[in-house]
Amino acid sequence: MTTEKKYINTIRLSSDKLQKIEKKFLDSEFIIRPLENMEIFQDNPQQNSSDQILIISGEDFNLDLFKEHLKQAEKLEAKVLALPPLPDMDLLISNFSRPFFDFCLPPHDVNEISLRVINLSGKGDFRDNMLIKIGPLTINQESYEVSLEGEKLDLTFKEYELLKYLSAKPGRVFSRESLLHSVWEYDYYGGTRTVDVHIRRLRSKINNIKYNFIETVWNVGYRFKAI
Amino acid sequence: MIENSENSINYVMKKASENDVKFVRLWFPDIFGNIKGFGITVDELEKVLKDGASFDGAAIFGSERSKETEMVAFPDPSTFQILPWRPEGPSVSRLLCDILHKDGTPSALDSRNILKSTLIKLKEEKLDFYVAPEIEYFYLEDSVSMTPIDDKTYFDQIGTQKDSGSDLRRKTVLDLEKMGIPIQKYHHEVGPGQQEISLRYNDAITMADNIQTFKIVVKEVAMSENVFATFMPKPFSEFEGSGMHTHISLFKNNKNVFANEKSISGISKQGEYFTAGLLKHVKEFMIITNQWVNSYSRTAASNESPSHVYWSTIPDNGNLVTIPNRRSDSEDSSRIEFRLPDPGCNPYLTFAAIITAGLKGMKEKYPLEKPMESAFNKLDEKKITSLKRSKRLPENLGLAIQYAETSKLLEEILGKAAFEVYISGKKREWQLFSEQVSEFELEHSINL
Repeated sequence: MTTEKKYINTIRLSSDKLQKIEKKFLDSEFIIRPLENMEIFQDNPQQNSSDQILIISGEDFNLDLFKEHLKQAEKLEAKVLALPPLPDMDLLISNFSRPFFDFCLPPHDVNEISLRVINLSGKGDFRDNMLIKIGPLTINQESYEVSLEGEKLDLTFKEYELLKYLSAKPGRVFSRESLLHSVWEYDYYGGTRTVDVHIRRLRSKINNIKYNFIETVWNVGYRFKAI
Repeated sequence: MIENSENSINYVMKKASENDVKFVRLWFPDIFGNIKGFGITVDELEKVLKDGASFDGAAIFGSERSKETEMVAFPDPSTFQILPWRPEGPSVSRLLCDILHKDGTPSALDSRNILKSTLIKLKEEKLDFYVAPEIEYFYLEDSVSMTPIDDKTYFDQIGTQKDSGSDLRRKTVLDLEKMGIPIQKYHHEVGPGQQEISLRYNDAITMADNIQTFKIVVKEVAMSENVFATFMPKPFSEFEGSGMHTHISLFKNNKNVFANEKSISGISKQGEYFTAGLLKHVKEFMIITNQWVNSYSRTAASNESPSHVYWSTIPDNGNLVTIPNRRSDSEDSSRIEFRLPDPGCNPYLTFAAIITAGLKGMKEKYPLEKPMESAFNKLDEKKITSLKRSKRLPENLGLAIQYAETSKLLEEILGKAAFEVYISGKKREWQLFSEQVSEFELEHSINL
C-alpha cells in the first residue's frame, strides 16, 4: 500500500507554485500531475478519484470557474485542497463540512500546501469511510447494504438508520429520546417506545446465536456492543 | 410542507434496484378506511418520492364521489415494502401516501392527516399513545356459499377436517413479518373458520398503516390458496362476530400514565379520566368505530360483544372497556382494553376518536363510575331493564348517525369537511339499507 504511487492533481495552479511543489515532493510517494481541465481527472483510468488529491486553484481570480471546479469535485467525491484567490470564508464553509476537503488561504504558502496535502492523503479512502465494519457485521453507507457474515440483511429504512447511528459509536449508550430525535427527526408521531419496537425487530434480524450486538442498558437506553 | 430527506429517497431507490422492483403501488386510505391506490413503474419512483404523484382526488371520498379535483399522493419512504405475495423479480412494492392539495397543504379528507393532527394535540400534552389491536376474521371457502373452512373452536389446535387454516395463518404471519408488521400471538377463535391475530403495540399512525396492510395481506394470502378471508363484523347470525379489541396505553417521559397498582380500578386517576372520556362520548363516535350497517348486528347480539356503556375488570362479558389487573412486576403493561371497534373500521379515524375522547376526559377530569363486576347476562331482570334503558349503545347505524350528527366532539375529531362527507356517506348507506326487504321480514310477515 505505502509503496504505491499517489497522485496530486492540480487544476489551474500557477507555474511558479507548480515548480515549488514538484520540488517539495521530489523522491516522495507523490506524483504531481497538472491537468488541463476537470474532464481529464474524471476520465482518469488509473485510479478511483477518491484515492487522489486534487488541488483546485483560483489564483487567476476567475471565481466562477473556481466555484464550478469545486462543484464538479464534490460530485466526484475527490479529496480536495482549495486555493481561493481571496479569504472568502462563505465560499469555503459551504464545502468544509465534507470529510475530504481542506483549503489554504492566500498567499498560498508552499510549505502549508504540502502539509495539508499529506494530511488529506492520510485520511484514508473515501470509500473506506463509507464502510462500517464491526466483527462479522458490515454496513455499507454508500449502497445502504448491511450484511452479517457476508449474508445480506433486509432492513427497513428506519432499522437501517438506527443501526447506522448506534454502530457509529460502539460502546456508547444512547437514550431512547436521543435515538428518537436523531433517527426519526421531526417526522415522528410515536414516542420513545417506538424505539423499543424497532430495536426489537432490528435485533431479531442482526443477532444470532454467536453475536449479540445491541444491548439494553436498563433505565438508560441502548448500546452497540464494542467488539 | 412535507419533504422527504435525500437519504430516505436514496435508500428506497437502492432497495428498489436491489430487489428488482418494476412496479410501485401508491396506497392511501379513503375516508372510510378502504385502501385505494394506483401503480407507477420504477422509472417514475425517484421523481414521485420528491414531488408526489397526481391523481383524481375523488378516490378519497369513498362512496361520496362529489368533487373531482386533482390531488397529490405523497409517499412516506419509511413505508416502502416489497409485496411478498407478488412474483419475485420484476417485483412489486408499495408505499403508503399522504394526500396533499396541489399547493402542498394536506387534504382535510386524508385519514392519515386527520390522525396526525390528533397526535400533534397529544404531543402538546407531552403524551405518547400506544395501541395494540386483536383482529378477528373468518376464513370461508368462498364469498358466496358462506362455508367456514374448518369446524374448530376457541384455541383449538385440531379439528375434524384437514386444516388449511393453520397453514394460512402461518403463511400470513410470515408475510406480515416480511412487511415489517410484528405479530404478538395468534389463535383460533370461537366461531368455525374464525381467527384472531394480535399485533404488537405501536404508535397510532404506524399501527393504522399496519392494520390496513394486515387486512390486505390476510386476504391476498387466503386468495392464493383459494380461500376467502372476511373482516365483516358479523357474517353469521349463529356465530360470534369479529371484533377489534384495542389495547391502549399512554406514556409521559417514559412512564406509563395509566399505572397505579394501589387504586381500586387498577389504573391511575389519569387512566380513569381517559376511560371516562371514552364511556361518556362513545355514542357520539360509535359511527367511527362501528361504521357499517352490519357492525350493529355484532353489538346487538346477546353474546360477548360490547353492547352497553360500562366497564369491568373481567374481560369477555359484554362490557365496553376492560381494565385488566396488571401483573405487579410490569408497570409498563398498565393499559385499558376498548372492546367496541370492529375490523371493518377506519383505524386512522378510530384512533383519532379514542384519543380525542380520552384526552377530553383527562382535561375535564370526568369521574369514572364503578365497574360492572357481574356479567350483564347474569343480572336479574329488573337490573337489566334499568341498565338497558340508560346504558344501551345505539342499536343500529341510523341511531348512531343521530348521535353523531349533533356531536361537537365528532366534528372536532374529523374536522368540518371530513365530518360532513362522512355523515352524508353514512346517511346514504342507512337509507339504502332501510329500503331493503330482508329475509327476516319475508319469513315473519309474508303470511299477513
